[in-house]
Amino acid sequence: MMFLSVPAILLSTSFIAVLARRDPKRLRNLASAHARFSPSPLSARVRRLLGVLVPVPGVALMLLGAWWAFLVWLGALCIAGWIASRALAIHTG
Amino acid sequence: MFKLPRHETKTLLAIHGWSGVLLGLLLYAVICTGVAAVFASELNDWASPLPHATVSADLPPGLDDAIRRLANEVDPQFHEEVAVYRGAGGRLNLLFHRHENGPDGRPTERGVEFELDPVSFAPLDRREGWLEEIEAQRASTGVADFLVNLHVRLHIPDPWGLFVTGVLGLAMMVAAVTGLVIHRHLLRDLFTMRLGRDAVLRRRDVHVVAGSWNLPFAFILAFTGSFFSFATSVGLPALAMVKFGGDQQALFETLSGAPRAEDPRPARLTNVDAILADARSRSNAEPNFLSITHYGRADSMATVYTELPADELVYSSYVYDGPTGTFIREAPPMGTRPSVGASLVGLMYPLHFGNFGGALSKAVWVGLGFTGAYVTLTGMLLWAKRREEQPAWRRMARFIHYVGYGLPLALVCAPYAFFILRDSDIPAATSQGVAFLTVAALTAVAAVTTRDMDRLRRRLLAATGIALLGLPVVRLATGGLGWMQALEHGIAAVPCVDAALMIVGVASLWVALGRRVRMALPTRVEGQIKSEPQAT
Repeated sequence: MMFLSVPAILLSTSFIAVLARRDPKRLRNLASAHARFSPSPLSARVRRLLGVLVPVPGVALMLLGAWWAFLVWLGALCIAGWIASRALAIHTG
Repeated sequence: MFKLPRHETKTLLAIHGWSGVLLGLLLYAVICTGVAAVFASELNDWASPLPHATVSADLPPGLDDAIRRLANEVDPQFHEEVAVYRGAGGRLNLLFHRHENGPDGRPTERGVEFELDPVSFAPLDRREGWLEEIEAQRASTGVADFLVNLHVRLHIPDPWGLFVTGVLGLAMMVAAVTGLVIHRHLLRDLFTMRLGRDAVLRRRDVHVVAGSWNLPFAFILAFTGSFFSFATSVGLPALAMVKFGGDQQALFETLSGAPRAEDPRPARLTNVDAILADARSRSNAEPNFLSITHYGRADSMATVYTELPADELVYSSYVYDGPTGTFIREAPPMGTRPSVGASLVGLMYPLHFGNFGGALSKAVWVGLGFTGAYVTLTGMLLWAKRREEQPAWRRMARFIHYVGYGLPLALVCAPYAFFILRDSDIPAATSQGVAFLTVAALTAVAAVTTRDMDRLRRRLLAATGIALLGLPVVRLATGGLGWMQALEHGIAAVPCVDAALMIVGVASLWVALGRRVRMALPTRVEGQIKSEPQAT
């Protein structure tokens, strides 16, 4: 069931990428020079929805009993989150 | 996430910081070597491949004849136990040995080990003596053994090395738990990384964000690592003392079943290939370790361990009667019948080694280990930065830079000695150890003479990048297989590890030579006012 972990990782990572890119606190700290090119922050409701969606693929893997795929998914998610934060790090001037 | 009173937060922050900074440098060494050790088997296949196509099975058919032939070549006292397992490049290792107390009075093993070609079963090497002496003679696994030994026990003799790494694991757990508790806005700050003029804020953010994402696995890896360190060095002796009045034999009988009644009458061992085929069909996994006790006697038993079966996280072993080959039982990782405790013990292995899902899970575990090393290093740098007004902490910051960026360089340079001196009589551990210490000493000189710490960091990173790029060249120049030849023989580890080294080498150079943004931030360095460049 190795193939199951890859789409699960991609799905959760895409939610994390959106959350990271449009994170209100991150955007608040953006230097004014970059501010006009930045996207608008997500509303609390959408953030909450995405926050709920992020673990859904992992929960699905658990329900399928694909425990090792779940572990790979969880590990990859942690790395992806860090990379997303690092890639979108703000140069506050 | 947790709202604690201010003074409690300060206390926990002090515990978090001091536990990290006091043991962090050693912990960093353990994590860095652990990252490489995830691919220990692939590193061995890369460093010491056979010059021809090999077999896919770790314990291939034909082993039966080889065991019988070699059994006749060793002193019968070493028939007490035979261990058969895969070595570097698919080589077969057969260790005929007996259990004795060593020269230091501690239990160990003594015997003869053969290294065989897995296709022709021709002997490639013969090693004998105490287990420690045999291990020192294992040249083909030298590269990974050096890293694994550093990771497991920091090259400190047992049991002290295991104590140290066990304590380091506990310190990492303390840091993970206190880090979770003291960070009030864990979720809100998950994406907040401010790389601005304020060096303390910058260092805080890079540490906290990486630490937050790595938190679950920091705890898992620290816990399982501590378990492995303490299980044999403290846990089992303590358990024997508390539960069995110090009778270790009774403890082992409880954990792995009572041994068979002694029956020293001679009896021919059944066909080992048939036992392995049976274990393969029962487990749906490839056998990778075979243990035969009392070879050639009526009370002999064979135990087969396999790789983790597909979609499983806990392994079992398969026990057979030696003379008849009758299947006796499937044994859990601990005890004689399945239990929650046995499953938890079995779970420790995949959780720590990440070896349950092939290259994908190993790659993820390498990423998690790298993040852990990054968190440790940035945490120590942050702690030192916050106290840089004090000269001792400025010296500490320099020392952290030295270890943080010098250690990977020394680790990368160690295999140079392995390749250059592999045909000499010098043990692989010795040659690599000398190379490691030499590079560490040269790096120390650079650390003392380079005033600007960012320049030191860049130089060490650049040197690491060059050393990484040079490793495949040295491997080839010292008689290693070329990529085409390796691919023709189905040895993917050679091009894959070479490519990985080159990618990481280029990445290191890119970071080292990247844009240097000078900030007008006044920072006191060694009594001088200097501007601190933006470096994370």
